Amino acid sequence: MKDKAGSTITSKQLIFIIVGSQLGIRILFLPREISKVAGEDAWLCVLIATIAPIIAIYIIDRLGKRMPDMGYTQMSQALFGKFFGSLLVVIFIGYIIGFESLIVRIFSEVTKLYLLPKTPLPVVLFMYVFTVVYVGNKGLRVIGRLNELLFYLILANFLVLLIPVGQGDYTNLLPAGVSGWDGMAMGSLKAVYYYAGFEILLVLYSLVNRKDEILKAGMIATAITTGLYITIVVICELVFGVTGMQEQLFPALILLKVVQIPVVERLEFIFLFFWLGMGARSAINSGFAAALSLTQLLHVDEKKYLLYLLIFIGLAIYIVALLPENLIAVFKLSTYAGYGFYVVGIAYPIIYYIMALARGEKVEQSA
Amino acid sequence: MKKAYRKAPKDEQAWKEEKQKIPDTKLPPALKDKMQMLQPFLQKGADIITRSFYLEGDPPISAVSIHLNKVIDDETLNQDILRPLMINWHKDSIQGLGAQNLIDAIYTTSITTSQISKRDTFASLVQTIYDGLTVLLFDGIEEVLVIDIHGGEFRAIDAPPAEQTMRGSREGFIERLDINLALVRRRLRDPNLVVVKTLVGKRTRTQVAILYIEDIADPNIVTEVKNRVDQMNLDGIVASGYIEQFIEDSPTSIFPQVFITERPDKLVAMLLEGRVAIIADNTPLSFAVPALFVQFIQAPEDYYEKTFFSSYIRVLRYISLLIAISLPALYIALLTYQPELIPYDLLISFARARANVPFPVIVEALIMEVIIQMVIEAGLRLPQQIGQTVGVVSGIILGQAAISAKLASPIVILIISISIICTYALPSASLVLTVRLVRLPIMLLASIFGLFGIAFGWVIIQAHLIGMESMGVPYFGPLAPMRYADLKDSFIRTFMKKMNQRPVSIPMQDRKRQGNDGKEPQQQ
Repeated sequence: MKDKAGSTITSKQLIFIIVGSQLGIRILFLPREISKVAGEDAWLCVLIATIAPIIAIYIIDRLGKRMPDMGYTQMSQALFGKFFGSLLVVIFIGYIIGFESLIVRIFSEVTKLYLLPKTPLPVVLFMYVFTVVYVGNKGLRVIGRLNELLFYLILANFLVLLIPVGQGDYTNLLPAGVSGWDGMAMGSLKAVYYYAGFEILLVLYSLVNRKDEILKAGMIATAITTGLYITIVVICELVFGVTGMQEQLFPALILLKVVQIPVVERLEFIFLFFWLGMGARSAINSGFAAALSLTQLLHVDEKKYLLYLLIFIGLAIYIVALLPENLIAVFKLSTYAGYGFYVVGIAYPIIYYIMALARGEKVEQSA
Repeated sequence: MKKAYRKAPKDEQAWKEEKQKIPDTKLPPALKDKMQMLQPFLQKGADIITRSFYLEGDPPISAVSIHLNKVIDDETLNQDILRPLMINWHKDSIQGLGAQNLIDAIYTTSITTSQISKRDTFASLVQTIYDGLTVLLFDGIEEVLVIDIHGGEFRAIDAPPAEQTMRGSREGFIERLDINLALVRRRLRDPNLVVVKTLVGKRTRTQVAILYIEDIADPNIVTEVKNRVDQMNLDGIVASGYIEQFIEDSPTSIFPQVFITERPDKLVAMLLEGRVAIIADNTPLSFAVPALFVQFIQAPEDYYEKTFFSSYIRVLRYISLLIAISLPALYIALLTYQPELIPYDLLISFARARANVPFPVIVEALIMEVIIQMVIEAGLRLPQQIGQTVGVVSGIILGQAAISAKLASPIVILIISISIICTYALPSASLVLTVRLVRLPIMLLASIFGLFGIAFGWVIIQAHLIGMESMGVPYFGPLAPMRYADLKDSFIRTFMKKMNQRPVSIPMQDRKRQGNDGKEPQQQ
C-alpha cells in the first residue's frame, strides 16, 4: 500500500499527524466545556480521559498487526463483507465530513470575530477548504512533513499562553475532588471527545513504514496532547477560576488579554495570527484520510482521482459548515459530533477487533 | 486543422535530419579525395583555415592541417606541430613503414602536444573540425590526427562579481570549461573526484561537465543527474540557465531548485557534502544539485568567519527574508484592518502622514513597489555611470517628489525601501528574484483578508516548499522532514569541530567528515 507519491510516512511523522489532528481550535474552549461539568477537577478529567485513546490506539494496533498491508476500506470489506464493510466506511467518511466542517466553521467564526468582522463567512470558509484541498492533493508524505513543521511552530506559539501564569491564583485549583464521582465521570466522558482525531490511524496504519513503532508513536502523541491540554486547563483555572471561565466563549484566547506587554498592544492577535495557519491542519489530515478511503471504496486510480475526491470532500465540508445558523448552534451540534466520535473513535476499533478475532484465520489467509 | 499542422513538422524534422546527416563513411587514403569530400564544408566556412605542407621523404608525403581561426592557440600550432613536421622531421625513422605504423610514428616522434587522437570516419572528421580541434590529414593514410590545442582569446580569471567575500578566494569561474575544471581540481585534489563530459545541444554541441566525488555522492542521484542531462534534446544551449530549467524537478515553481555559484571554493564545499555539480562551457557559473531551501540563505563567509558572527548574520538573513516578503503586506493589513494593533503614538503619525494621500493603502503600496522594481530593472543593464544617475534620481528626487505630489506617504516609501534592502541582503541571486515576485501576492492577500490573508499565504508557501523536491531529495529539509542533526548548520552554524558529520539531508555514502576520533584525516 502506497499513497499518491508512492510513499509512506515515518512513525515520527505519525506522532505529529495524530497530535495535529487532535490539537486545534478545540484548545480554545476546552477549559470552559469541561470545567462546566467537573468544576475544579477539570484537569483531572482530562487526565482520566486519556484511558480511552490509549485503549483505542492499542486495539487499532492489534488489529493492524493482523492485517498490516490492508487499507482501511479493504479491511472493512474483508471483515464485514462487501455491503456492510462499505457501509461502515461511508459512515466513517460522513463522520469526518461532519466533524471537520464543525471545526472549520468554528475557526472561520473566530477569524471573523477577531480579524475580519465584515468579510462574509463563506469567503473565509472557502480559504480554509482551499487549503485542505491544496495540501491534501500533495499526498501523504507532504502532509506528514507539514504536520511536523507546524508542530514546532505551534509549540513555540503555545509558550505565549504560559505568560499569564504569574497572574494566577493557585487556590483556584482547590478544592480537589469537589465535583464528586458523578461530575468526574461526566467530565471525563466529555473530555474523551477532545481526543478525537486519533481515529485517522485506522486509515493511516497501512501507510506507516515501521509497524512495530506505531503503538509507541500513538502513545507519545496521546501524551503530548494530554500534556498540552492539562497545561491549558490548569492555566485557565489559575487565572479565571471555574466560574469566571464560564463567562467566556474562548477562555484560552482571553488569557492573553490579561497580560500587558510593551510594544505589542494586543497579544491575542499575534497568537491568532500563527494559530490560524494551523487551523486547517486537522481538516487537512482527516480530509485526506476520507478522500483516500473514498478512492479505495470506488476502486479508482488514486493518482488520477484523488484531487477530484478531495474537492468533493472539501465541498461537502464547505456546505455542511455553512448550515448552522450561528456559533451557539455550532456548539450544540458539536455535542452530536462527540457522539459520532464515541462511535467511530471508540466503538469502531472494538467492533473491528472482535470481528477480526472471530473471522481472523479466514481473513488473514485471503489477505 | 491544428492536428494536421502538428503532424507536419515531425515529418519535416525527419526529412531535415536526413538531409543534413553527414555520411558516416570510412575516409579514403588519398589526400586529394579527402579534400574533395571536405570541400563543401570548407567552402561554407570562411574562418576555416587550411594549410598545406609536405613531409620530406622518398617520395614526400603531402599533408594538410585544418582548424578554425582563433579558436586554437596559433603559437602552439606553429611551434609544436607544423615546425617539427616541416623542419625537424625524422625521415630516417619512417623508411619502409606501412600506413598504419607511419601515423603512429608521426605522432610519437614528431608532434609535441599532449592531447592527440586518431579518427577514421568522415562524419567524425567534420565534427572535430567544428568542435575547434586541429586536424592533420596525410596523403596515403586513411586515418587523420586530431589535436586539441584549444586557445585563442578569453577572459582572464576575475573576482566573482555577484558573490564577493571578505575572506576566502578571489577567483571566480570564467567562460572556459577547462579552466573552470582546473580551478576545481586545484582545490580538490582527490583522486575520487569524477569529471564526466557530455555534449548538449544538437547544433551548439556545448560541452557540459558533471562532477562528483565518487565515494561520497549518492550513486542514485548521480545517475539521475546524468539521465536528465542526457535527455535534454534541443538544438542548442547558449548559457547554463537552459540546463537548469531542463533538469529541475518542478519547473512551474518560482523557487530556485538548483544552486548556482560562480565561486570554485563554494562548489568544492558542495561537492564535499555529496552534491553533484554541473559546469557548462561558455557560462561563468556552476550548478550544484540537490539544492535545499536553507542553502539559499547561506553564504560562503558563514564558514570562513568565526561561529558567533556567522550565526548572528545568518539569523539576520532569516529575519530579512521574513521582512522582505511580509513587511509591506503587514503594513497594509494593519492599516486596513487592525489599526488597534499599532501602538497609539505610532498610529497617529501614520495617520498624519497618510492624511493627504487620496489612495487606499494597497494602491499606494503597489505604486511604490512597482516603481521601485522598475528602477531596479532600469539600473540593471545600464553602464555603471548612468546607473548611478538613475539611482540618485530615483532615490532622492523621485521619492521626495512622490511625497510632495501626495502620491505616497513617507511611511510607505520607508516600508517598501526596507523590504527592498532586506531582499538584497539575501546572498543568492535566484532567491532574490523569487522574493521580489512572492511579495506581490502576499500584499494582495493582505489587502483583501488582512492578517488572515498573510497567514494563509504563508501556509500555502510552506506547503508548496515542503512538497517540492530537488533530484528526489526533500527541498525543505532539514526543517521538514526535521533532521535534528542538520539543524546545527541551518539557522545557526556551530563550531567547525562539531560539524564532524556530513548533512543527512543530502543522501551520501560516507557520513564522516572529520576525524575527531584522534586520527587525522589522511594527508597527501
